[in-house]
Amino acid sequence: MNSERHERVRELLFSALERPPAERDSWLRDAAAGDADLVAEVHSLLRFHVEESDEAPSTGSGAATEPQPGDLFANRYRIVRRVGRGGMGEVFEARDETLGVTVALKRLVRADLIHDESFRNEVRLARQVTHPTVCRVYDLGEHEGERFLTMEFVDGEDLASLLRRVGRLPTERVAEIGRSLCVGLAAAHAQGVVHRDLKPGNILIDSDGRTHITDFGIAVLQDDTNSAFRSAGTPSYMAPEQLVPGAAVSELSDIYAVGLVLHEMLTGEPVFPGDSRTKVLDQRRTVALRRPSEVVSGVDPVLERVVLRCLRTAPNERPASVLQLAAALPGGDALGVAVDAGVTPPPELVADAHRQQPRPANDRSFQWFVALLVLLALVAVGMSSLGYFPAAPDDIHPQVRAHRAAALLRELGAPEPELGTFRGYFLDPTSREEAQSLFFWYREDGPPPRSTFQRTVLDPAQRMVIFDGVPTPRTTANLVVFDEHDRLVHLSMGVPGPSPQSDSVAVQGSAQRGRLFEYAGLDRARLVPQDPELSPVLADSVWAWSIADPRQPDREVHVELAETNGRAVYFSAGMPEVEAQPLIESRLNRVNLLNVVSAPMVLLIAIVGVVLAVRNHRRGRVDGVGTRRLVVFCAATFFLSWLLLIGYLPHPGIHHGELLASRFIFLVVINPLMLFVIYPAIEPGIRRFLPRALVGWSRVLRGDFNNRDVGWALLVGCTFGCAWALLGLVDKVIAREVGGVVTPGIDHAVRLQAAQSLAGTMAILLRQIIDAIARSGLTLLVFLLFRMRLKRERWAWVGVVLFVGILETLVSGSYLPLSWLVVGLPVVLSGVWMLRNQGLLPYIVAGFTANSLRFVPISIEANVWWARGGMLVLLVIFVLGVTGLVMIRSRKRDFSAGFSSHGA
Amino acid sequence: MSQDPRTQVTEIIERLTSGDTAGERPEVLLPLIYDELRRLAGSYLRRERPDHTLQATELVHDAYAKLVDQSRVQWQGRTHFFAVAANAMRRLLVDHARKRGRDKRGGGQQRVTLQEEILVLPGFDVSMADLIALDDALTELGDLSPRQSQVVEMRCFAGLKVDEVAENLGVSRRSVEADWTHARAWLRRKLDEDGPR
Repeated sequence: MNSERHERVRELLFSALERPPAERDSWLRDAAAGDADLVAEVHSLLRFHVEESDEAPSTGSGAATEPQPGDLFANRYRIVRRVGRGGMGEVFEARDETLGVTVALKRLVRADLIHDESFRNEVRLARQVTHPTVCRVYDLGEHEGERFLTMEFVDGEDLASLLRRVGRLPTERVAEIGRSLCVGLAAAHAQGVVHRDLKPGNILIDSDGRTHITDFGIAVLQDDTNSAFRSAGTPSYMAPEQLVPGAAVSELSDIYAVGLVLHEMLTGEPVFPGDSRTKVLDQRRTVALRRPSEVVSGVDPVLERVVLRCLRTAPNERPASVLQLAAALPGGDALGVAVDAGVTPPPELVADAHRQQPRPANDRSFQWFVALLVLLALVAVGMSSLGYFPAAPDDIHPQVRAHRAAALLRELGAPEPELGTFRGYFLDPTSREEAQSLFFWYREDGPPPRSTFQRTVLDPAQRMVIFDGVPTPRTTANLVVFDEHDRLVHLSMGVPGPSPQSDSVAVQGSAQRGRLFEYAGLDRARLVPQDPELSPVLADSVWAWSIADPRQPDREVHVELAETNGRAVYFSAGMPEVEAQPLIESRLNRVNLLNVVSAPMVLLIAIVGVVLAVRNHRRGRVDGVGTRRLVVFCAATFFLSWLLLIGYLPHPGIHHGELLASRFIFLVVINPLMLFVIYPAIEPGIRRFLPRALVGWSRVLRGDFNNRDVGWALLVGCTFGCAWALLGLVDKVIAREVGGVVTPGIDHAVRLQAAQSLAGTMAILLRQIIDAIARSGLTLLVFLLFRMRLKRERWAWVGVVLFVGILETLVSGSYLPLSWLVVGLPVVLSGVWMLRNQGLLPYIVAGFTANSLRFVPISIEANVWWARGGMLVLLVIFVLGVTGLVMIRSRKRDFSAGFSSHGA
Repeated sequence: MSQDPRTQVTEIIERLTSGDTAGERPEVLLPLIYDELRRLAGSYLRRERPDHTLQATELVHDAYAKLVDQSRVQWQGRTHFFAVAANAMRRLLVDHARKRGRDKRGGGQQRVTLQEEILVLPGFDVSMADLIALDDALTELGDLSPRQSQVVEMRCFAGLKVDEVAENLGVSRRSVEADWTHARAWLRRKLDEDGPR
């Protein structure tokens, strides 16, 4: 082709393009005047022609045209305006016509097609992070060979232009933005996403002043070492390790960038103004880092320390995580940041929270202490005057009654006990009166059954000599029961004495009978013979009578007597008919609903617990140290209480050795083992959603007892516990006045145990510690389950109030709507208030205090035989309160914050 | 020459625009501009730019700002400068691409792709490797139509607008547009035919 022909082609091509495409072919044929080669040449060129819309294309893109406002891009996005140009491409504000929302549309200019892989990275990674502080990425699309990205549109200004406009920012604003950056980065880091290119240009401040981090564009997963873009980033804001090819880049690189951004916000100038890697490297080699205070005056020293700490060259000298960084910021609130970021703070961070804060001048700790003393006094007076115990046995020490019972057995020819003696009280479970009959029992255990056959045929019910009606040779215990007026109501001989022929000392026959009726306080002359109800199979002779109760003439007493070889083996006078395990049984009858509900509930909780624990383990959220210590503590506490309870039987029908063994297995082995599952199931979730509640608790688990948080927990917890105990008394008064059901059942059983001895009281107190922890665990589990479902913390608390309120009503209380309203609801509400605002530790202390006061009988009359246990409880609560007060008011400085102690 | 390049260039342009040339051709500017462009492009040519893109027209504008005292030079003078600068830029880039190719060539490897280096030229997105092909094609186009080759040079390597090119070449705007349209399609086709598949 020569020049003239080339010139001719030029004319035809240009003129053809001026015509509408449809007319071009025909026009061209005419214009070429039959020169087919010419037409072919022009056609060939037309294929390579690309419209050029802009006279002077600013982007250098000849092919792709820049969308103009009003254009519909990719048939979906109506372009509103161009808002900026990032490292990846141009950014437009656009309206998604399909969904009717405003999006930011980031378009890849053609020359940057090579960045495509990094673009895909941006989408893949950024989509994993969903947090208000992190610009949401919606979608990656393709339009006419170009890739574009849609993301959340933030109507605001980037920090770079804000700084250009206003110079530097005030300290509070710097700290605030710094905190927001920590929140966003914490959320991203929790997903394993490192930003890698954090800089003022990537930080948007919206019209409400909220901070958004955008452009997770070159972020790569930390373990993705093969990425070609490992050293991508903006040189001025890169951490030193990012400038060295192949060096490890981690969250710590982002922390460095935060340091640079903070520095720039404080001073208004970039730390490294260079725009190329070489320049920045050069600056870093040659120019010493200037402290913010060297650049401008009036820099907050705390912020400056943080900045310099972040800007350490060695990554491991920087704050170890953004949460630690947040903790170090002025007013450092690492836990708030963690909650806002939706991440689980590590336990050490929780334990170190708000240590730095000085004690307020007027913290009202003394007022709390006075309140505690007043409440404690009210509870003590109220409890001893309202009377926990049925009146009669109060003044007779159980030791005295045991002597009397033993004397009776000796009179009847029973041998000296071989295996030990046990004694205790039980209540008439058939009585619904508050002043229930309180029975004293005394048991002497003989040798165990000789053959294994005998042992195996013993079922639990039969071993309860008192309740199986017939004394049998298989039983190996002698049992005596007195009622509250010290009258004999039951006798059963399981261990036969020496045969009567060879024993002349023992009172026999009619004389023996006379002693029994004397002990029973019955006049033999007034006995009316009846048909015996007992089967005489195992006895030689059986008699039955009825007689009017000398104390309550309108009441008829049924009396039965059985003899073998002329010796009484069974005697019963007015003993209530009860089934096996009367106390527990009647209890369950009352709370049948709870019983029905609780079995599947326990199973459900166990399953949920295992699932949660496994998940937390897998995500590495479990507090291993805390779990181990808690388990050891619980095992030790249970073991101690087990030791203290040796020799105590809660019920006459229980075998002591078996009770000890089963108690040991359940208390000392199984319960702590269950904690191994339950604690890792619950704690990490609480640490995530309510980290502030765990501050005092975490410190105690880490052996840090003497600090203000623990002090407050003791003081507030004891005060609330006393208040709850007082409300319990109010409940009692209401029940008495309105006529509700008073169910002292289990309470009384435990109280009786506590009353038996000081060891019993201490065992009860130890158990209350564990119980309080377990109850708080249940409350928190309920909270956690609601919280995970409901998303909103407030509704989760409402769920807790309802659930725990109903549960508490079923377990205790008087079943009166009035008392639930006046007593139950305030207790539950104040418990929730305490959990939210004061934390777990005071909640546990309050639970311990309230239940100690509830389960140990309190009397301020020192001469009552059971007063010592009550005094012990009052003393313990008082000491706890004083300890708390001393801790709070201690002049000792709190340990320095975790930031400086955990940095390196 | 002891004079600094800025004074030199400015004076030459003044002489060119006033017609007081005494046979002086605009090409005398070439070495001066070439040196300045090479200095400006230094970081890019040493492969230190992180983004590996070169905004050629920006460089030319930077060189103009550095070399020409704008208070003394009218816009006709400006077109003189850019016409030469476009040629200098083209030479600079091609020299660089060839040098790079030589550096990298070894072990019998015939073709070296320098895909990572992107050159932003109005109308074309080419890698440095493509640049040599573009240069060859442009030379070939120059045989067919010297003016089209000049238009492309000025538009691409110096970023001159159509009006400015027309002024510089002393032709109509429409003519430049036709040249530009034709040349682009022709070059694209050429690169497409010869280019690597």
